Amino acid sequence: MSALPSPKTKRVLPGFGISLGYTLLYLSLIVLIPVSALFFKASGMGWEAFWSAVSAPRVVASYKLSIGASLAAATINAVAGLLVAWVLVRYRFPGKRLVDSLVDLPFALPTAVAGIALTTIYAPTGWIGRWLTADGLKQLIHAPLGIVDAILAHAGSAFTTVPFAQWLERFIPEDGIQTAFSPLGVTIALTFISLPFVVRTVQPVLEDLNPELEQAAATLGANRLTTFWRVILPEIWPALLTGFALAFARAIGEYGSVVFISGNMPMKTEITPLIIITKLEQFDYRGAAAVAVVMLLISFTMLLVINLLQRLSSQRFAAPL
Amino acid sequence: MSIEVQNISRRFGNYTALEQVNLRIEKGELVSLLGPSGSGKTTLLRIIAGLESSDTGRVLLHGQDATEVAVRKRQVGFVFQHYALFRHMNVFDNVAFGLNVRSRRTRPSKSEIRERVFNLLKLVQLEGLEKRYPTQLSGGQRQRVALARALAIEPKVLLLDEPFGALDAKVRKELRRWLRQLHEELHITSVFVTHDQEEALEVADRVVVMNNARIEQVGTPREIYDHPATPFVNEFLGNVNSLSARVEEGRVHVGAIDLLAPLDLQNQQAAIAYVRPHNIQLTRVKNGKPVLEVKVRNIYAAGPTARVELERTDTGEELEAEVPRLEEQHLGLKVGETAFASLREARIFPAGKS
Repeated sequence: MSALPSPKTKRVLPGFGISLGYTLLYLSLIVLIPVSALFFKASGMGWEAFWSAVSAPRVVASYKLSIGASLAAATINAVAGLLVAWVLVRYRFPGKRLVDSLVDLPFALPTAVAGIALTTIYAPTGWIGRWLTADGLKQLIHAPLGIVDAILAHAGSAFTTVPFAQWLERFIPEDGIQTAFSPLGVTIALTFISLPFVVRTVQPVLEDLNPELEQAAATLGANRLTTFWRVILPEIWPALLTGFALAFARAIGEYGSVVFISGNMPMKTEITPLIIITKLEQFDYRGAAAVAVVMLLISFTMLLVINLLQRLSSQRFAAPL
Repeated sequence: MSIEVQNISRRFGNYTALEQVNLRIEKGELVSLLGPSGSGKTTLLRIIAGLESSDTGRVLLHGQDATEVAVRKRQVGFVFQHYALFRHMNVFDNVAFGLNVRSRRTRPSKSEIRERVFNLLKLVQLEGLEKRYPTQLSGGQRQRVALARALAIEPKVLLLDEPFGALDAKVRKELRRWLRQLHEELHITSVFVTHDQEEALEVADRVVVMNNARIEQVGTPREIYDHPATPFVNEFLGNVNSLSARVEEGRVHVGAIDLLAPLDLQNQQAAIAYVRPHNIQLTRVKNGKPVLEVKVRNIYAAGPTARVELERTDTGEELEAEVPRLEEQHLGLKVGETAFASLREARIFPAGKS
């Protein structure tokens, strides 16, 4: 209770009580009540039924995929999103506004549309997918090397790249690189939909970054890479962590875009939200609630840990310089 | 290491920050760039550091052309007005930064770095604060950390951009005396930018007065104050009254007072006589000397001297006199009374050129 101000403290700006009241009411109505209903539903089924519902091999496989792919997507976006934010903040180029609004597109697009589009592209017959099949990859190897060979032959050289091509071919997996209908496809879809989170959290912090910090580092003899690692990254680290957490949270709850590209093969490419939907379609409401509760706990724990890390890293410079 | 700036010009769009600036700073000197905001002094400093590029001209460090040398290779220590400390590092790491980022070949050993940082902290009087973070320090302490950080790389040249600009008056005075002492110990060629003439005159060996992208005058504080080369310098260095005057036959007439005219003034020319407030002497009666009749408008009697606001009865021009408190009490002047002013010293410039 010590965190709350005593009623005797006179505040210059009134309204703490009423705004806190509204905040709690609002959060209860919008978040807490639906979530507790979930727990309530799941609690009606008894421990044994609950455990068998949430620990079935197919369900466990889905946890692994969901969490693994979401972490991968959030990590990819932490790096790529930082780069996008950097380019948008630091450079001026024609079409910058267009690129800037492009970032938000994954927000605006209905996720099912994104899923269908990605599937079309990455399917074995799609624009990108066809080059990733075993045959496509062979072509990717032979086409440029073929040109080299033609030039060499034209120049009258006896040298040929054929052995090199054959050597490279050995690295091609039997089925090519499966994108659509594989965990890789799931990761791609999740990366797509969670991109804006990192960009939009890091961008304002980068914009506010004092250019004198980099200049100071430069006068002290630091090169650009060192300046980035030792000066810039620590400054934007809390924002980057927040972006990572948001991207992760968004990815783990994603359903629409993934179901198309994943192919939904049990034990292989089923994500947890799909398991929940499947259970609902079979009128297994309790089972669905049980899986949802586990998912919720895992997500909440991870967000809590990330938040804690973020708090720790920003604690040192709580006050502005 | 000496610094030489040759024909430096710099424009930002339509705005000219520097126009054909030439300056030579000798080894071991402490020079201040003094001028109002927008006079180009900070741009000049940043060009010397390599943080800004110039459109034309060259920068020579120790006689060698450094115009194209990257900032990080110039070996200049730079102190920013707002410190620019790394807030995620403690004081020790901030000061050690310049040593830690060196390539393995040139980096001192851990114990050497430690020793050097502690020596610097001792020098800037921050012993025992090495574990603090910048947010846990006062403004003056932060600026001293920034200075120690800049000194850690053993710079050939120390550049300070309004180093005390963000501090309160008392700390400012302390720090500038301390900077003077530090310079006497270390003798690093130093340049500092300021818009505070008192600061420039007190700290620097030589003062460079800048205005409108150009250098107005370079000289020791005494030269600058006693022999301002231009009306701008005269007006910028401390309070000064400007009195309209006329030149006739080698004499300058300010009301009934006449003074010897400088040689470059033509006959019948309008001129301005600049008189510092402490060079105006007030009397209650005409003592036979030529005087100006003035009316007392206001008296501010706080401090060691009293400031008396006056108005010339002939032209209506306002002027200000500084009179020692004792003399003011002796005179017993009252607001609204008439008094007589004589000028102890005046500097004459042609009118219309400022």
